[in-house]
Amino acid sequence: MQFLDQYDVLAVAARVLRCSSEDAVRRTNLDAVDQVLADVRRTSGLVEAAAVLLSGLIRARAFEGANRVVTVAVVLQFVAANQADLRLEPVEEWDDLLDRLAADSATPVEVADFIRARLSPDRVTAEDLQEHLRVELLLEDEVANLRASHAPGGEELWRGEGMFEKFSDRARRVVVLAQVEARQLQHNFIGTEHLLLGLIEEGQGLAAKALSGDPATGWRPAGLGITAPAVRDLVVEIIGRGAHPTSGTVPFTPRAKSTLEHAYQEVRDLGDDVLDTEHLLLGLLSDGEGVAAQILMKLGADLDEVRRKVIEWRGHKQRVESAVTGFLADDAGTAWTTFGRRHHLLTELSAVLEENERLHEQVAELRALLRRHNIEPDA
Amino acid sequence: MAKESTKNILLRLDPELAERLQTVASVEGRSVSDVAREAIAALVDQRRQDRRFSRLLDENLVRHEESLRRLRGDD
Repeated sequence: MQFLDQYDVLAVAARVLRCSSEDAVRRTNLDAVDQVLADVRRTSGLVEAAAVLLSGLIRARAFEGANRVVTVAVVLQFVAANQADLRLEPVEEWDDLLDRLAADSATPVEVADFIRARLSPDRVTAEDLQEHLRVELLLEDEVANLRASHAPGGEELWRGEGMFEKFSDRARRVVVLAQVEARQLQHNFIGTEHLLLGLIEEGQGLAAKALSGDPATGWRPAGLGITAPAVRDLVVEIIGRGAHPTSGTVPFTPRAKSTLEHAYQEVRDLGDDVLDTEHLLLGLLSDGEGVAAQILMKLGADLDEVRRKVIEWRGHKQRVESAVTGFLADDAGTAWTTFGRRHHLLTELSAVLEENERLHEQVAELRALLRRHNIEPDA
Repeated sequence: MAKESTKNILLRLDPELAERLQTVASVEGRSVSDVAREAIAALVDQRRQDRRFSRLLDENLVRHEESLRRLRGDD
């Protein structure tokens, strides 16, 4: 989950209040915001996090003069950062909830239910991506060469619309984010380094967990602790920033295209149906001389170790997905009211199952530790 | 609240940063909180210039402009 920090919140406040950053700082109860953001970080799902954010800011009256509108805008920004949107209509229902929150008469469950009923995922479709990247134009000149140089199965990949059809929503978002990164650095190409940043910034996929998860955490499998700012700094060090803002289409470099080819190969080799973030990361790792691989090594990562970690996480993810599929099969009679509700219930269920799995792994480690000290855990 | 009025804020800073703030404040003859507030505002400015953040925010505010406008004001 992408969390907001205090500066994000103040930037939203300044924009909504149409005032300077300094005025926004003066008009905001920084302690209250700090406390609420800390509470949000202790939550486990988007619904709960948005509910805590909304409740906390309203109750604390964190923004002088326009608390309600700024708070709702902050919550909108938070859910949007997590690829979702909130329905604000009918506004009267929001007014009613905000009244009750201000009077401290709304329970956390009520607030969470209210948010859940209005939350919808903001899906990136293949068509969106196609339009965003204008891939047909981008690759028009490349198709003939690639068709000539790749196996028959690979041809379809570069055929405009067919290119991203097998991408999961998260993998599509990674490509969009890679383009955003390239533009921000004023690079007129999308290289492996931008794909690496896209994988980290996406934040929720398996690749992001394997790359940027905290290595010091007690959870297993632990991540490598590689952050987007650290990678960005090295991109600037190795390549530098572009001299001019990038306009028009941003083409993939040959190495980035090769990475996508390798990612497809990983999908085939692993017997998967969908190209997800882990396949993109495995694709990046396959080219040890690419900028992304160089950056990972500069940040102390061993590429084989990263690959092992990704495979480890993948097994973990498959067990969780299998449990969710089992749950759905058992619960086939349930009438799901909306796609949004179903999506978020599944997300939360996955989170619970992931935590359960991690706890089991921790227990196993503790038992092994006890045995190493000649203590029988079940005695 | 009037623009000129101030409020006390609690800042949790690591000792090194606190010392640097104290130094800047001493050299410039200003209060630590004044320097801290200015530093926070500079970081907020930086965030407002982040293109991805701003684009997301603008999209949100445009999409929900009418609803946000009709929200009841604070008591």
